[in-house]
Amino acid sequence: MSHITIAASEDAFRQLFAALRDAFSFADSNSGSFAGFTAGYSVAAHLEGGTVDLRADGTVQVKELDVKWDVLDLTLGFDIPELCIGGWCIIPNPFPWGDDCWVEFPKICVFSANPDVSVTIPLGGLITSEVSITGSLVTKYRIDPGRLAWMDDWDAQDAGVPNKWQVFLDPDTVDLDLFDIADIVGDLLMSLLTTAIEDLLPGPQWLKDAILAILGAIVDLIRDILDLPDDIGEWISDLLGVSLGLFNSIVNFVLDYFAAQNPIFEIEDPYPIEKAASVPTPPGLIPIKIPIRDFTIGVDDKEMTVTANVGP
Amino acid sequence: MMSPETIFDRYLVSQTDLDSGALTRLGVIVHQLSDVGRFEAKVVRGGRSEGSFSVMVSEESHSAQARIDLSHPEAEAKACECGADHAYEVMPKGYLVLLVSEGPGGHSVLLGPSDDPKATPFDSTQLMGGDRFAITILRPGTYGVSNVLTGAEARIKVAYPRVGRRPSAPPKPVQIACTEQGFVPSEANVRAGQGLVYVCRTSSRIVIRLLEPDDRAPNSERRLLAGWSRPSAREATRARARPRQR
Amino acid sequence: MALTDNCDLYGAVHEDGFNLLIRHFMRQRPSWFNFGTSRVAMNPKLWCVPIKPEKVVVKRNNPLMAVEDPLQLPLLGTNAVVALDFCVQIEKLEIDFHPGNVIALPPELAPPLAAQRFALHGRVCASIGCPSDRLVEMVEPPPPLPPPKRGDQDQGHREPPNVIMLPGDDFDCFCLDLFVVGHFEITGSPGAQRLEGKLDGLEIVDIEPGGLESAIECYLEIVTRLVFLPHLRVPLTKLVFDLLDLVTITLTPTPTSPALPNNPAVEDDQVKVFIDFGVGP
Repeated sequence: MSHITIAASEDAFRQLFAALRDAFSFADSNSGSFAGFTAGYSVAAHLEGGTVDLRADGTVQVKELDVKWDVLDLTLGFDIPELCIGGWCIIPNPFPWGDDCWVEFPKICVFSANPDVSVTIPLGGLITSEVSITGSLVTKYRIDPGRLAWMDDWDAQDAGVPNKWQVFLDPDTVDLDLFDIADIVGDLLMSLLTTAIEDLLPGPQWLKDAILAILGAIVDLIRDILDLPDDIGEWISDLLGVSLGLFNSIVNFVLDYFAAQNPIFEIEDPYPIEKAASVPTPPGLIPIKIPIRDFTIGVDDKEMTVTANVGP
Repeated sequence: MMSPETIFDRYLVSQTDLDSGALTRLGVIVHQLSDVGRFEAKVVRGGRSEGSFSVMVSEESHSAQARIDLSHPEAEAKACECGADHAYEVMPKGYLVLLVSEGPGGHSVLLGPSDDPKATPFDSTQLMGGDRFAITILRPGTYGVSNVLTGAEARIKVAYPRVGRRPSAPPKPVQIACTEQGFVPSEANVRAGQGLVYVCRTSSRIVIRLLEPDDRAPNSERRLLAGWSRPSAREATRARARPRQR
Repeated sequence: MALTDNCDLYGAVHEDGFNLLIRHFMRQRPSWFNFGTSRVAMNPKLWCVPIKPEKVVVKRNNPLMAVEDPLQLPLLGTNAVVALDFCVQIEKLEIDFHPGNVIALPPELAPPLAAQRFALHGRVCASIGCPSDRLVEMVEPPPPLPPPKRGDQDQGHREPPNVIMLPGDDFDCFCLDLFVVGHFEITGSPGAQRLEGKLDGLEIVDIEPGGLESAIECYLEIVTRLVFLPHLRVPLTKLVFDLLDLVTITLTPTPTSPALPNNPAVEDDQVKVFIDFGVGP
């Protein structure tokens, strides 16, 4: 029989996981060039909610963790195509061969330098996402890279680099669902882009209208440049998630967070027993440290069990 | 990002009057050159000489037109062995196209054969014999047209632009004859940006002045500049990402 | 049947693990188990049993033996004491949880080990530094004190005694086997509760005459209750669950019930505790 046995009910495990979930924070940015436009995102998110289930097969299932986007800014940029007034024919070619026009009126063009339109659409709060994780609890023994060869366990504790037993949730699957994009997102995108383009048009309103009359409705210009489908929400989802790789970025971050960076819990080895004693270590005396061996973890549908032996 | 001023000449906004004898960006003179030979031209602005250029009308030339930017008259003249360092070349019966590409304009041209100083030069302030004065007006409103050499008068009405869903190029230019009897037709209704070509059958200096602008009060007419309709049926967007297989 | 069927958290330590813990304590904090005067502490040849500490104890100049004041024996009627060197060492210490299978209890403690009880066995070795006859001859005992006068308001007061230190040459060590039976209780106020060992019985084996044995047992019971067992108090919130880093959660012992008759429970060679999450403020 193991020297030490600790068991935590499913409720207790949820408390452990809640602390881990609450400490989660994700931030990322990326950009890319596409046919006719550039796009980029800047995001920051945390996790809330979710249900945790310990399963009879030894796995842990975390379902429907809400990804709360504190920041989800999508930046779109594109060049407005050159627009010219004039260029019409003053003297047409009377003959059926050759160019149609002999003498043309000069073109007066705007946007010849291909000015950029760039807008940032704040989508945080307008997009709801959920992540679900299924994984196993695994133990790892960590030797701190800062621990030098000459250090004994007490030197390592003093230097803040003790060895540790760690328990991680090692995901087998991470599912990210982009659950819903608020209907307003499409309107917001169009409104911001339209305003940005209008602001670029020169002169008084009659001149803007003269240009727009030739340009056509800005919304259609935008649609053509961005090749927008009817469902702008779906387009944004694909742009963010697939083209810019946000979804993979989150998935990989979650994987790394739980599997490698943040253990559900960890203990020092050897364990400084003074933490458990009522008498603190007197000054000058070494803390009493107990070696922990054979640290294992098990899960069933009722509880998580940790067993270990005291080393010789 | 460039400011609107830098991408659109401010003179296009501020200059509403047009004068064939003082060219600006919105006006072009087309003059046909019939005689073969070399011609010298002087560019005049505000009564002062602002530059010169040479034109070589040659049967060897394949150019149907020589486009002269009066704000930079020598810019595109090519080297030639014609007695001038650089000259524009055009075929006989080719066209001399006089335009202004930048700045406030106000240019005119005096052009004559270089080997006959006594010949009557072509004076762009006095168009005649098939010369054309082509213009495009941007600012909506009512304009008065007058031939200051004959006293003839006419009207142009430029309609306020109508912004539609799709791009819309202006209709074909309107041709107006300048005759001894006056302008034919004497009234023209055009759209902003549409062309007008005054074909001079008599001696003409055509001046166009804005009589009554139609600028429309701000937001006086709510027009659709942008719009988007939600698709009739929408499902919740769903995208799944699976991590690498273990 | 799950370990947490009747609680949120469960912790258990097996007697084998506990005995290894004791071993580590003895090697890393030898001064808790070895006592002597300064002369004895500085001279390993005077020790009853060798001390084998962890290397780090020596490396960091931690004491191997706790230095105590010399053993003071009064010279009756003289207001003077003779102080002698002494050495006391706990050579061995082991624990046994019910059912008893590590320690063979003496008959006086009514074996077998009762349910919900633990047994402790310690081997204590001690000696007194007995001074030579020649040294004792050299001591000039101070004159007896005059009797207190009637009406003297300082009747009960005496000046601090003069201490006559007699270093010993002859340290004749002896060892005793000490047996203790006890149980665990959860004591303290809510939120600051502790697992604490309580003494049920103590026996030293085979000291004659019986009165001497009883006197020594009395002394040792008091030492055990007041000195030794308090070292075994473990704050409930920190006991093993500190491992789970649940320090922000209020933990309370699970109330006993027919399904959970004992908390803590000493059974199956283990001490077990059952904890619930408390209702926080």
